Amino acid sequence: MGGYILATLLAPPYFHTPFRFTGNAQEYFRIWIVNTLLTILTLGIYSAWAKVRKKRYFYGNTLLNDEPFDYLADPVKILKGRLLVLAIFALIVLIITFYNINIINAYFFFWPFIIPASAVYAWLFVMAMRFRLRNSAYRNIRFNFRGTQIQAAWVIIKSGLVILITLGIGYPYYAYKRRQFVVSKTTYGTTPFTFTATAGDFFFIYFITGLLLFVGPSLLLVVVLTVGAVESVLILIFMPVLMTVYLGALSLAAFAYRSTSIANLVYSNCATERFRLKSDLEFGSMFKLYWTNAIVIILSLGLMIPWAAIRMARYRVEHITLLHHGDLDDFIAGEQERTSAAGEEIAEFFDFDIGL
Amino acid sequence: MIRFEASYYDGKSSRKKAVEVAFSPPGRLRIIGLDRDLLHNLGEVRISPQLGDTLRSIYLPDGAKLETGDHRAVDAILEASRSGRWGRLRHLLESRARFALAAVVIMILVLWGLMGYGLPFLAAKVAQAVPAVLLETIGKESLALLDRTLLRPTALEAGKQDSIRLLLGPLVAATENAYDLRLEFRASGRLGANALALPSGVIVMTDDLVRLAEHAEDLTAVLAHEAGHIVQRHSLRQLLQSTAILLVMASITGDLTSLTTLSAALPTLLVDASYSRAFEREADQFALDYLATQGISSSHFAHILLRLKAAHADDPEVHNYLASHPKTSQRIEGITGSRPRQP
Repeated sequence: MGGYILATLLAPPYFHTPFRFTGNAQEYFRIWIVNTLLTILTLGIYSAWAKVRKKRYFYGNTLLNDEPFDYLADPVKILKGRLLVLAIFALIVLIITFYNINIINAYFFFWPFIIPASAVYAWLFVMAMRFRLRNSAYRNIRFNFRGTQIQAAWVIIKSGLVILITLGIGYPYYAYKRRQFVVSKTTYGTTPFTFTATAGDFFFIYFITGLLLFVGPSLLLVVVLTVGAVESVLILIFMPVLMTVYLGALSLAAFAYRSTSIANLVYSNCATERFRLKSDLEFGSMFKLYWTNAIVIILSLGLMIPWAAIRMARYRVEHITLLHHGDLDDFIAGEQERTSAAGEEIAEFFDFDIGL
Repeated sequence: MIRFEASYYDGKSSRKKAVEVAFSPPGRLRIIGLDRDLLHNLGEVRISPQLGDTLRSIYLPDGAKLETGDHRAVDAILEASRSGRWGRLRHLLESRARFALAAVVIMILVLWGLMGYGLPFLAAKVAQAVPAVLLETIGKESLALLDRTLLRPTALEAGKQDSIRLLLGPLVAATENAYDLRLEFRASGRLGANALALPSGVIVMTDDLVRLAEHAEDLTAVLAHEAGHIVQRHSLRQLLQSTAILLVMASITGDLTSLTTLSAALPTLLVDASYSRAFEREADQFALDYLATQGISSSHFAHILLRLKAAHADDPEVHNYLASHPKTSQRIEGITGSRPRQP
């Protein structure tokens, strides 16, 4: 299947249509600051509306063929989802307090619940993906997510076993299966996506990431051992600082490498019968974006968050290209299905790694 | 009559059609340029409020949609239908530099009030309401954890221990027995000369601290300081305040990538540290008040602090803004310079 798509798409003639991003930091700052203030003044209730406005701003400024994407979620649904999350969180805290479970005991205590916990995770994951995709549209055709909870649970169990048996080394297999599940169950209208990447691609990326994380500290060890022999006050003072900076930069570089390569891999392997995506983010630029954003946000005590978000979005969006045959006129809408925001809100609250 | 150009999507396929929309008051939209003209009442369409300079969407009742960049025309229609006032007000707020500036100022004031007064006030209220049973269990768990990690059994002889425990008597009486104060001795290489207060009322003193003290009054001062932490429930308040701050920051920035949230959460460390220093000052004041009632000179407190500082001279200096305690020199200034309140 994958080979077939590659063959049809790489056969010319096909068009390159780049994605464009038209958001700008100044405009977004004004929107962000007002929404943030309203969120604080309403004790968080407005956050649901703020989220929709933020998403609509980024979607509306993401253009393909000069036509924007559209985010259609209902803030009231998001608010309900958030209230539910709050209730669940309060319940968990109450249970922990009343039954006096400390964290270390809880770790052992929760082991028997790993199967039900995976089931809950699978359920939430699918709910969240449905909510996100069904509320995303382009040219008035909504995306959809057709994966089921049982399929998600199966993915989790299968890759969970792989990770367990290989003592963690098999993690890239899970990274692969998750993206494959997400992409291959996504549709644009009635048009399904296919995921053409392989597990091997993921293993390669994680291998290089691991190498970065391993070789760097080893080099450091060699340096410390050689320099350590030379006793000098200067080295004693500067060594800890240098080591922190070096290790921090290294882990950020590894993080940037991984997210850049995975994004390129995943997007470039999203295809339908008539188009495919291509993402060509560069590691150097992403690395620079990450560390400059982090520093500017810290120094501005968070006030430059909108600026950071805009320049990150611009870079990422403008490095995606659509390769397609013919025009984009004949995609057919699917049936509209209703969905609740609970999954997405829970996933967001507990910072689940969902989506691409 | 208002006319504007728009893109029409029927919602069934992704085909785009360029159309012209004519609006005639009081409330009819005519869409021109399709196979036949479409007519819709304003009451049945939904018009998206303005957001930055993004295209406006007009959602038609049959699932079709119009997209246009003509904000003026769309606003005129909203005006005519006497709807979308809130949307226009919101866009006005979101599009003017002075409102953004005002929002920054208000936000700083609100956050400052919240972090400086609101949260500490609420945390103190909540902490006082926490039942003693819970404090007892928290204290027991923390001591067990410390015993597994940082602390070892004491090497002090029983007689010495008992003589120091006697110092606690008047302190218990002064707090009217309300806080089950107890004293435990432990050895610890990593903590050095130190004392800890657990929420359950247990004060842990290290052997090194006992050796460091030259007079019994030095230890009384330390005990009173730790008792201050317990009576004022500082550890619980610190926990509540740090958690609340993190929640506040996460709710403001939480809709971004984790790296951004992390960067934005870093400044909360500063706030945490400042809370911690405020508690130390409160405990110092508690100790001074107590010493005054016992007729013990505050110079004993200053004395033991100086010796503690000397004993920890080899520890790495943490920058003041991140330090959990105020500088010893500042604390001593507070002790010798301040006049203890009369009970």
